[in-house]
Amino acid sequence: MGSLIILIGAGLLVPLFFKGHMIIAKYIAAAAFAAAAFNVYMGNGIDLPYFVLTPDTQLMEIVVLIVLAATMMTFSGFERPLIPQTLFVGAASLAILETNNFLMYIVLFEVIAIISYVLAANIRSKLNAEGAIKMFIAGATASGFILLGFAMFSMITPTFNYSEISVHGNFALVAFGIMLAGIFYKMTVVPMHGWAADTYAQVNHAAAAILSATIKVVIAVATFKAFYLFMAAYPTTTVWLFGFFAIITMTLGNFMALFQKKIAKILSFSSIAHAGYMLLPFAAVASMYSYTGLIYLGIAYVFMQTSVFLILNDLRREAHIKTLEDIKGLYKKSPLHALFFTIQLLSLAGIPLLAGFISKAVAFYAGVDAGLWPLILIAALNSALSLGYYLWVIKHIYFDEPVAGTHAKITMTPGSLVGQLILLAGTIYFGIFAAPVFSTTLGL
Amino acid sequence: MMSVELIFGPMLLAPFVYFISRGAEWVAKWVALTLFIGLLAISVDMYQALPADGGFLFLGEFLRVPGFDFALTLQVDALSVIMLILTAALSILVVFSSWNEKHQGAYFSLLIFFAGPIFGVFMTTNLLWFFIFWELVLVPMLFLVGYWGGERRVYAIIKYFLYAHFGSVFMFIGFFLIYQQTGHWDFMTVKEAMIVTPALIWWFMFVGFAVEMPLFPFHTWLPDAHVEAPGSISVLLAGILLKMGAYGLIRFVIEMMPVESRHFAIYIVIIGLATTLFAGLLAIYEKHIKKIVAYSSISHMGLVAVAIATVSYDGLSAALYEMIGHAIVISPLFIIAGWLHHKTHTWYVDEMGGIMQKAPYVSAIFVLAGMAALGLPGTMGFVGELTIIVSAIKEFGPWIAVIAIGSLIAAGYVIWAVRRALHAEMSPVVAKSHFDMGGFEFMALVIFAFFIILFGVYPQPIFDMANSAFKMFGGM
Amino acid sequence: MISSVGIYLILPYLGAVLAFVLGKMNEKSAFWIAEIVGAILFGTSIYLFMTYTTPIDIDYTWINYGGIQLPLGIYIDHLSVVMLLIATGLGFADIHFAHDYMGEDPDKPRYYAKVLFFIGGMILLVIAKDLIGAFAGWEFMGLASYLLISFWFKTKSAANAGMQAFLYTRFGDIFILAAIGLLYYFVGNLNMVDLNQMANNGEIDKTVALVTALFIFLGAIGKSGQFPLYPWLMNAMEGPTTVSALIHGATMVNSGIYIVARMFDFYAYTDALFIVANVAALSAFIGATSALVQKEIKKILAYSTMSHLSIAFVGLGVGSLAFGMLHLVNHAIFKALLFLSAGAIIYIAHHTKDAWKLGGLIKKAPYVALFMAMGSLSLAGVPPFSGFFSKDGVIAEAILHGGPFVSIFVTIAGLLSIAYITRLWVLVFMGEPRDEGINGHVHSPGNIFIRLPLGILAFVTLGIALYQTNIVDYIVGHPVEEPHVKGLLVGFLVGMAILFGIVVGLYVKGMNLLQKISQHRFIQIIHQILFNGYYVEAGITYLSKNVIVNGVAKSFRWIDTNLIDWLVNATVPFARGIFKAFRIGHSGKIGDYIGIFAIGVAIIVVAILIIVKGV
Repeated sequence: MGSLIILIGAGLLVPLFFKGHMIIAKYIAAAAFAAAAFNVYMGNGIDLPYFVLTPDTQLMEIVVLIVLAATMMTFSGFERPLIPQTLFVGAASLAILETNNFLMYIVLFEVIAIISYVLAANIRSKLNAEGAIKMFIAGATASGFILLGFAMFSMITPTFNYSEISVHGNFALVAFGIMLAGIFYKMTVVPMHGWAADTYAQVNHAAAAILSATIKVVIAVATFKAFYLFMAAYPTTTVWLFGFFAIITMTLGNFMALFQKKIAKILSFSSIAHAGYMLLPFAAVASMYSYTGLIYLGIAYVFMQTSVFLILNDLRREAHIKTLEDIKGLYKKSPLHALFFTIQLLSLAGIPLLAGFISKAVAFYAGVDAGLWPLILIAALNSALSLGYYLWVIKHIYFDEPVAGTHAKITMTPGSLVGQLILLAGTIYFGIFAAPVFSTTLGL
Repeated sequence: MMSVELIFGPMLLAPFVYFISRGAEWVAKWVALTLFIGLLAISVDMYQALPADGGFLFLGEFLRVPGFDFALTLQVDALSVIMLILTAALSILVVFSSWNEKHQGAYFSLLIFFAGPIFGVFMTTNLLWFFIFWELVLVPMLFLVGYWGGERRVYAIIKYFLYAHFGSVFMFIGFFLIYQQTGHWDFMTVKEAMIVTPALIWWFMFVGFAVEMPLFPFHTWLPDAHVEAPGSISVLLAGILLKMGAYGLIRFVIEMMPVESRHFAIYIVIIGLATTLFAGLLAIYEKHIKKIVAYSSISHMGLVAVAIATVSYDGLSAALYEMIGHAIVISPLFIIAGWLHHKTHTWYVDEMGGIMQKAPYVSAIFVLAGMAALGLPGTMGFVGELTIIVSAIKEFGPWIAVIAIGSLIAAGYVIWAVRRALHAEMSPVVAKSHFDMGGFEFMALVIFAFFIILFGVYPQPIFDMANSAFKMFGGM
Repeated sequence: MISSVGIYLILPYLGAVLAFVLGKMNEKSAFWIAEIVGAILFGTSIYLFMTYTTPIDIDYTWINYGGIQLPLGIYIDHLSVVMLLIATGLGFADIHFAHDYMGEDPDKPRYYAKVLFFIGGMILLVIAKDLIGAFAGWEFMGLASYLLISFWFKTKSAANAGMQAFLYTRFGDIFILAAIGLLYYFVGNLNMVDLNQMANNGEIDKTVALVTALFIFLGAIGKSGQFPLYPWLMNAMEGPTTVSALIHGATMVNSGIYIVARMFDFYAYTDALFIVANVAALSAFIGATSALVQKEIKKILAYSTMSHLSIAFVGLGVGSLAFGMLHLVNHAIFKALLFLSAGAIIYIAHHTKDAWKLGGLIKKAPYVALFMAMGSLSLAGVPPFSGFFSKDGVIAEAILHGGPFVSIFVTIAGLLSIAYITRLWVLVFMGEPRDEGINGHVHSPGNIFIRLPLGILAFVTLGIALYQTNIVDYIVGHPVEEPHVKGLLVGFLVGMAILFGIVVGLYVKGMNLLQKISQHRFIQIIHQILFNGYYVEAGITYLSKNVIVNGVAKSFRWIDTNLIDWLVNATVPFARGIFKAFRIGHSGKIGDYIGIFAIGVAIIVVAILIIVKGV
C-alpha cells in the first residue's frame, strides 16, 4: 500500500507548489518516486487481495518509477501539470503490474486509459487538441470492445484469478479475441494503430514520451501475465494470431517511418514498430524465454523511447525543431542533445552494447526457441530496415551543416540533463548487464 | 594478463580523450598512438603466452547471465592473436597515415573507440558476444566515413552500414539456431555438439560473412565505401574489417562446422573464383583510381575465400598468409590513392599522368605495392598466390589452376593504372598540383613497403604462426 | 664456392640499393658502384668457371607448413656457369658502356640500380634449382625489363612499351605459375634436376609432363619473343639502347631457351619438343622476314634477335641441346656487340634511330663500322665467325630431324640473316649521308667507354669460334659430332653470297631500282605486312582491347552497375513504393482509423474461427 499512497499523495500535494516554486514540486515528486522505488525494492507490495509482488514485477516497477522520475525532471514551464499525472501513472502502473486478477486488470486498464486522456489533454495548440481527440475517440471504441470481450469472458469463467483461469472452447476464444482487439489499440498494433501515429506526433512530446513508452510497456507486460495461461493452452492460435500481427505491425511501422519528414512521426512509427517486436514474445509463448524477452524488451524500450521523445521535446521547446530539415547540424548547436539522441536512436535500432540490442536479441531468441525462426528472420530483417531511418536522422545531426538562420546554440537545462543521464545510464546498463533481468524473470 | 580491459578500456577511454582534447587536439593522436603501441605489445605478449599444444589461452569469463549459458568468454588461440597483432600494428600505421587529419580530437577518439570492439571480435569465443562486437565495430566506421569522407560519403556509409547489417541478420539467426539446438553459446562447446539443421545454419552464417569479406555478388558496398572513406580509414576497412569477415568465416564456419564446410566447399570455391575474376575485370575497366584499388581488394579476398574453402591445414594457412598480405599490400595503395586525390582533386587516372615526375618516391611505393598485388615474387603477394594455388589444387584438383588468370588480370589493372596515372607526360592537373607528403604519412608507407618485401622474401615466420593456428586440421 | 652463391644472391640487390642511395648524393658514384659490382660478379663467374669441379647443389626449404614444403634450392652446373658468364660478363660490359651512353641522363642512379637488379634476377634464374626460384628470377627480370623499357617514362611511347612488355610476358608467366601448381600436385617435386631425372626414368605421367612442359614453354614464348607474343620485343626498343643490348638482345630473352634447356630431358620425354620446334621455326621465319623491311636500326636488330632466338629454340626442338645452346651463347655475344654498336651509332648521331636518315658514317666512325661488321658477319653466319658454326649446326640438325616445315622455315630464316644485316650495315655506313642536319653533328665516340667494350666483344666473337667444340663439350658433358648434311654448306654459302650481292647492289648502287620496285602495289602490301610484324600486335591489341576490356570487362561492369548494384539501390525506391502504399491508410481522419480498427477486429475474430476449425 505504501508506494501507492506515497505516489498518489505526492500527486495531490504537488499542484500546491506550481506557482513560482516548480523546483519544489519537482523535488517532492522526485522524493516520492525515490521513496516508492525504495519501497518496492524492499519488497513491499500493495499488500491487498489480488495483488502480489514478484521479483520480475519488482524489477519492472523499479524501472518504470526511475523512468517516470527521469521524465518528470525534464519538465519545465507549461508542462508542470504533467508532474502529478506522472505520479498517478506510476501508481497505476504499480497496481496493474502487481495484480493477479482479471477483473482488476480490466479496471486498471481503464484507469490507465483515463490517465492517458488527461495526459494528452495538456492542450496548447490546435494540433494538440486534434491528437487528444483522436486518442479519446479511438480509446472509447477500444474500451467498448474490451468490455464486450470481458463480458463474454465473465459469462463462462468461474474465477478471475490468473492462475486459475481455465476456460476452453470457441466462445472463450472469440471473447479473448475481442478483448485483444481493445488491448491492441493501447499497444498500437496495426491495424488499431491509426490514432497513435497522429497522437504521438501531435500532443505534447513529454506526454507522448509517457504514452508511447511507459504506458505501452506496462500494458504489454500486464497483458502477457493476464493472458499467459490462456495462450499456453492454445499454442497454435497464439502463434498464428500474434505472429501475424507482429509482422504486419513491425513491417508497417518501419516502412512508414522510412520516408517521414517530421521527426515526431518517425518516432511514432518507430514506436508502432516496437509494438510489433513486443508481440513476438506473445507468439513465442511456448519458450521459457518469452516472458524474459518481453520484460527485457519493455525495460529497454521504456528507457530509449522516453529519452528520444524528451529530447525532441527539449528541441521543440528551445528551438522549434520539428523536421529533419531543422535538425541538420544539431551536433554543432548542442553536442549534448546530439549525443544523447544518437545513442538512444542507435539503441532503438538495435546496435549492441545498448539495451536495444540485447533486449531484441532475447525476445528474438525466445521466438527461435519456440521454433519460429522464419518469423524471427523477418523480424530481424525488419530491425535492420529500421536502421535505415535511424541512420537517416543521425546523418542529419552529424553529417549536414546547420541551416542558416536557425538557432546557433541550444542549451540543455540541468533538469533535462539529469533526466537524460538517468535514461542513458539505464540504456547502457541493461545493454551490458543482462543478468538482473534473467535472474528475476526466468521461468514464469 | 589483461583481458576484458582491452575491450572496454578503449571504449571508456574514447569519450575522455574526446573531452580532454577539445583544447589541445594533438593530445588525441598521441594517446591513440600510445594505446595502439601498448595493444601491440600486449598482443605480442599474448602470443608468447599461448599454450604450446595449439589450443586456446583462457583469459576469463565475465558478465555471466544465469539460465542463458551466456557470458563474455575471452580466450584466444594463435589465429585470433595473429589477428590482434595485425589489428594493433595496422592501427599504429593508420595513426601515422592520418597524422594531419582535420578535427583530430574526434577522429582519434573514434579510432580509440574502434580498438575496443575489434579486439572483442577477435578475443571472444562466445557467439553472441562475437556478434555484439561485430556490429559495434560498424559504429565508429559510420562516423569516421560519414564525417571525414568524400562527397558521397553519406550514401556510401549508409549503404555499407545497412548492407552489413542485413548480412549479419542471417548470421544472427544462424547463431540463434545453433544455441537452440545445442544449448551453448560458446564456440568451444558448440564445436563438439551435434547440430540438427547444419545446412541451413551453414548458409546463414556464410552469407553473413560473405557480405563482410565481401564476396560476389555482395560486394557492391565496398567500392563506394572505400572511395568515400579517407585513405587511412580505407586501410582500416580493407586491413581489418574485411579480415573480420574472413576470420569469422574461418572460425565460425570452417572450424565450427568442418564437415558441412567440406560438403559446401565447392560453392565457396566458385564464389571465390567468381569474385576474383569479376572484380579483377572490373578493376581493368575502371578509371577511378580508388575503385581500381578497391576492386583489387575484392579480387584478393576472392583468393582468400578459395583458400578457406579447402578446409585443410595447408589452405587455411595460405588464407591466413594472404589475409595478412592483403592488409599490408592494399593499405599503401589505398593511402596513396587517397593522397593523390587529395593533391590533384581528381579521381580519374586518365586525368592524372606523369605523377612519378613530381612524386617519385611515393610513386615507387605505389609501383611496389602494385607489384605485390599482382603477385611478383619477392613480395607478399606472390607467396600468398603460390601457396593458395598449391593448396587449392591439392584439394580440388588441377582445374583450380585457373586462379592464375587472376594474377594476369591483376597485372593488367596495376600496370595500366601505373601507366595512366604515374607514367607519361604530366597532365595539366598534375602540373599545377603540389605533391607534398607529411613525414609520418611517408613513414607509414615505407613501413608497409618494408614488410611487403620482408615477408615476401622470408615468409616462414607467418607460416610458423599459422602452424599453431590450424593444428587441429593437421591430422585431416 | 659456396661464398660465390652468397655474392650472387646478395650483391646485385645490395649494389642496386647502394647505387641508388649513394648516387642520389653524388651522381658519379652510381656508375662506379655499378661498375665495381658488375666486375665483382663477373670475376666471381670466372672464378667459378676456373675452379669448377662438381655442381654446387644446395637444398633449402623456403616455406614449410602443414603438408606443403616449397623448396628454393641452388644448383650450379656447367649450363649455369655458361649462363652466368654471359649474364655477368655482358652485364659488366653493358654497365661500362653506359658510362658515356647514359652520361647526360639525370637519372643515372635509378638506371644503374635497375640494371643491377636485373642482373640479380638473371643470376637467380640460372642458379635456381627449383622452378619457384627460377620463376622468381624470371619475374625479377620481367619487372626490371618493365622498369628499364619505361625508363624514360615521361614519354608516352616508352611508358606504353614498358606496359606492353610486362603484360605480354606476364601472359606467359601465369602459365608457369599454373605449371608449378600442377607439378607440385602431380609430381610433388619442383626440382628441375629431379624432374629431368624422373622423366628419364619415365616416372611422370605423360599427359602431365606434356601439359606442364607446354605451360612452361608458353612462359618461354613470352620471355623470348616467340610467336605470337613477340611484338613487345620490338616496342621494347623504346628503352635506352644499353638496356636493349643487355636485356632484349643478349640476356633476358635467352631465359626462355635456358629454361627449356634446363629441363631438356623433361621436354624430350613427351612431344613438347616437336611443338617447340614448330613454333620456333615459324617465329624464325617471321622475325627474319620482318627484319628485312624495318627502318629503325634497333627494330632490325630486335627482329633479328627474335629470329635467332627461334633458331636456338629450333636447335633444342629438334633434339640438339648442344647446338641450341651453342647458338644461344654465340648469339648473346654478337648480339650484344651489334646492339652496343647500334648504341654507339645512336649516341654519336644524337639519338637518331632511323637508319634511312644516316649513311656514310664509316668516315666518322671507322672502328664502330669495323666492329659492327664483325658482329654482322657472325650473325649472318659467315665462316670463320662464331655464328657460322652454331647456325649451320642447328640448320643441319633441323634438316636431319625436324621435318619439312621446320627445316624449310629455319633455313630461310638462316639465309635471310645476311640480307637484313647487310642492309642495315650498308644503310648506316655506306653511301652518302642522307640527312645533312644529323650528319653534320655526328661526333666521334670515346675510346675507353665506347670503343673498348666494342672491341673486346668483337674480339670475343671471333675468338670463341676457335672453341666451339669445347663449349659444346662443356655444356653437354661429352663431345658432339657435327651433323653433316650433304651439300648444305656449299648451298648455304652460295645462297648467302647471292643475297649479299642483291642487297649490296640494291642499296649501294641501285637505289633508283629499289624505289621503282617499292612503288609496285603488291610489293607495298607485302612491305606493310612485314613492316608491321604480320599484324600480330594489332590482332592482340584488338583482342585485349575490344574483347577483354571493352567486351568482357565492360559487360561485367554493366552487370555490376545495372544489375547487382541496381538491385541494391533499387531497395530505396522499392521501400518508398511500399511506404506510399501504406500511407493510404493514414489519412489523419479518425473515422478512417476506426474503420480500419473494425477491420482489424474482424480479422482477429475470423482468424480465430478459422484456426479453431482448422485445428
